[in-house]
Amino acid sequence: MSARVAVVDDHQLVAIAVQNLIQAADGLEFARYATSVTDLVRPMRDADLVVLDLSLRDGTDPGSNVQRIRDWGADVLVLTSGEDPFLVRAASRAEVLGIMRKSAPQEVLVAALQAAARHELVPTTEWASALDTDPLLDGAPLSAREREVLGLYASGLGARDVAERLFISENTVNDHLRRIRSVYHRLGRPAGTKVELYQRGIEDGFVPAPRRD
Amino acid sequence: MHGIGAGERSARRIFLIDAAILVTIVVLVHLAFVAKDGQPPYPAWAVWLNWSAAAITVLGGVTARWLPDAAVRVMAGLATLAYGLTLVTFPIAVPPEGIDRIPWVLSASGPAAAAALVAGGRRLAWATVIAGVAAGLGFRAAYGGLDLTGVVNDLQALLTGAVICVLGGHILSVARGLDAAAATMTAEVERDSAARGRLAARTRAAALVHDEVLATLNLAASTLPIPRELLAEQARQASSMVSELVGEQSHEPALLRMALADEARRHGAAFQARVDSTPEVAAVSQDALIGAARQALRNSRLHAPGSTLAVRLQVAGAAITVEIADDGPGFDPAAIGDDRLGIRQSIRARMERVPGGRAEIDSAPGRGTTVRLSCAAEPERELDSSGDRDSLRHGLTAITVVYVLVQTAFAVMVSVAVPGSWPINAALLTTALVAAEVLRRSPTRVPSPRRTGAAIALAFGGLIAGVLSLPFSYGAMWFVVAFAFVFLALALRHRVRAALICGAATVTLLIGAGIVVGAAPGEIVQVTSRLVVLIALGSALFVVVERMQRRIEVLHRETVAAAERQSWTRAARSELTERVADLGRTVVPLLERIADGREITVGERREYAAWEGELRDGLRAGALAREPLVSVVAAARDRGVDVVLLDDSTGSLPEHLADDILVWMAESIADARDRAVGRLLPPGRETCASVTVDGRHVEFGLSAPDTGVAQGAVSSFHGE
Repeated sequence: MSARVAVVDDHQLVAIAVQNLIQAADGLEFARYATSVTDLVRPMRDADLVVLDLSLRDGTDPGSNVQRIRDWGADVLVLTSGEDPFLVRAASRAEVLGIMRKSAPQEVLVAALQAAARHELVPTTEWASALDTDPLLDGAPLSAREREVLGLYASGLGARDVAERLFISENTVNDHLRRIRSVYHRLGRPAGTKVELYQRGIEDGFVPAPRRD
Repeated sequence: MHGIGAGERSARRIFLIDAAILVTIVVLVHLAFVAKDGQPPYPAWAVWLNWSAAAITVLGGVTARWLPDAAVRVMAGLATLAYGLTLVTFPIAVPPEGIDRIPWVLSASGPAAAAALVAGGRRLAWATVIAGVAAGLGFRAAYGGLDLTGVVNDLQALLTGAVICVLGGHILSVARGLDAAAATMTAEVERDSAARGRLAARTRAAALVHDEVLATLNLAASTLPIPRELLAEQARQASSMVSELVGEQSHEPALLRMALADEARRHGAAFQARVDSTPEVAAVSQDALIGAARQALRNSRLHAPGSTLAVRLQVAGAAITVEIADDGPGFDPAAIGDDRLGIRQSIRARMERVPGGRAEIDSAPGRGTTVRLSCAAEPERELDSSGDRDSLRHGLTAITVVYVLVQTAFAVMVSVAVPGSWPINAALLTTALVAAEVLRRSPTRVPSPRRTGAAIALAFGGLIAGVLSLPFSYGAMWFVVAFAFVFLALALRHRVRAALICGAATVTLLIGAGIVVGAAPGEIVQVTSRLVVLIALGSALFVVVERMQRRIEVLHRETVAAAERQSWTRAARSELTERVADLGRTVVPLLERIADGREITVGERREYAAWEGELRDGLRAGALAREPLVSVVAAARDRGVDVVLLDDSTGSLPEHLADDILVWMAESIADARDRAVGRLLPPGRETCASVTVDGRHVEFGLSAPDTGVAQGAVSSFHGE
């Protein structure tokens, strides 16, 4: 049975594009398109996977959007147009299967959708890079190996390449990634005042871009 | 009368209440004397005047909490006036048959000094105290009472009054500073939150626009079947959003740099900015700078057509300089008549109207013209509520000097009055001065327990010796007040409890001694009352000072927090401005082309993909978004390679390595076929950059620049 996929994006065109992808892919079935999470979750659940836009125009934050869809009962794959690490982290702290760039090549997008439809994690460079640089993760209980995996992933390698480099199996790499993800979830909201301040600044909308020069 | 702040208001009320308490004590002591000795037949009006002086002060103190500011001052003024009248009219009030001695209350200026502080500030308070002591000594000479007890009384009154003037005056000035600081803080916070609100809105808008543009380019680059009219509509929307945001930003007053760049562009001038800080520029200064720069540019275009024009903005700390230079024919500035409105009005006059504004025109025939505009950024506001420290220090010095002189005079007078008592008086004087010095020399504001103990031991040693060896009378027991001042100093230096206990112990000691020697109750009251007044006064003032100190600390913390928020805001604002301005220049033409709705060619598709990638890089590539990498990446994207650039170095990359890394990364990406990820690694990793091209992973050098690794050293290895 093919997985039903819904799209939440405030650009109708993006939804149309993703719909085209889904219809052409094996094992996927297009369910519905909504411009907001509120609209999506109003009816009974009619999708197994939701493709969610990272920054919706209605001002909702990625974390709570993901949470609402999870409560609704579907898995979430997040799509992003720019890799704003702050928003990516906010989404990653909630339960997402992965964070994908909209401009990724089509076959990569399709593969990601199919993996997510099988409830598999979709670790991406953007996701790993955002986590790898999160100051919150500094004090997290991650092993050296796990940090290594995260760092390599953030540098653009796939699970197979990472496995070969570290002389471990691909399954082990995936185990590491799963554990990193769950540790990251558990970090939850920070308590340290400095970090808290930093966080609040970000949440208030002051998203500082990496400085040039 | 202008309004006063909460701090000053509460200080004034406290002083009026102090005055009421002091006057009550004075009246009670006075009544004790009258009951004991009776009173000469003063005329009724004089008695009435005295009583009303006391009554007004008490009434003022009792109602102070509820009185409006003006009424508090009026009450205090009336109380001061009534005391003054009592002094002035005393000669007429003296009964014709004469009096034995003037009443001691005449020089009890403490309550009036406190009231005067409220009514007219420190000067009026000092005037009151000096008038009191002068009247006391003068009337004593004229009407009787110029004896040991009388002089001791008047001089101790002078000391008490001096303490009220100095400390009370200081508290008032601290309170005023506090109010001013609180007002500044409020303004600061308001401005700050307004700026935050604007920025938050602007940031969200910019994020939206970015998203919109990225989405459009992404779709335009995609090979998926997308209805062309919908894509055109999307492009139109994105284009108008960018234009609106750019237009809106040009009205933002804080964007001096943007506005100058804009003026430069309009007049075909090169623009260059060297900005080492983002100061807050007053809107008026900013308008003047932009207006004057515009006029200078126009002048150059008019008088030096075809010359090369350049605008340079320099911000160093709080100093802002804008230079407009051309290499045209130049002119002799001295030969320019006043009628040349362009230079005089629009440039010089405009700049001279703003704080710290100046315009210099540097030109000579054949040497081009440079117009230099400068002004100062708004000074950072600082919180100063420490009050007038110098006057406090001088006041305390004055008190110390008067204290030493007065106590010495007492010792001498008592030695003369009580034959054979000079050794004990000399000993008492020395003990009092040593005890006071022990406290004065304390290196910390709160004297250490040992120091406190030593001062108290000295004081009690002196008190007991004095009580045992000198007759029990107010005059002879001058040393009681001398030691009371030691306790007052303790109270003012955080040792309130010790001071109160010492005061109570001394009172007990004195009452006991009085009863043992069979002194009259009036005598005992007189001996103890000033001691009680001094210690009570000291403790009360200490409490007030403490409370104000705490408020100052809180305000300081808040100011610092506000400053932090502000700098954060400024930093974010300049980032954002640049990004949106970039968008306006680069992508609007592209969006307009998509909006035409024509068929998109393969070449165009790639172009859009390249632009989409570049926009993404603007968000994420940081230091990697520079040549030579930028063109290599654009070319790769043009070939259809998916390139991701990530700067995770948080600015930690040493400048000298940056160029090598860019060249190295560009070489790898130049060969990419499908996918390339270039990344600057977070600080503290073994390497500082990596590039992954089609599954092949390479890392760059060692991160530590001081390990002696030659520049460009590459430790590379392959992932496969």
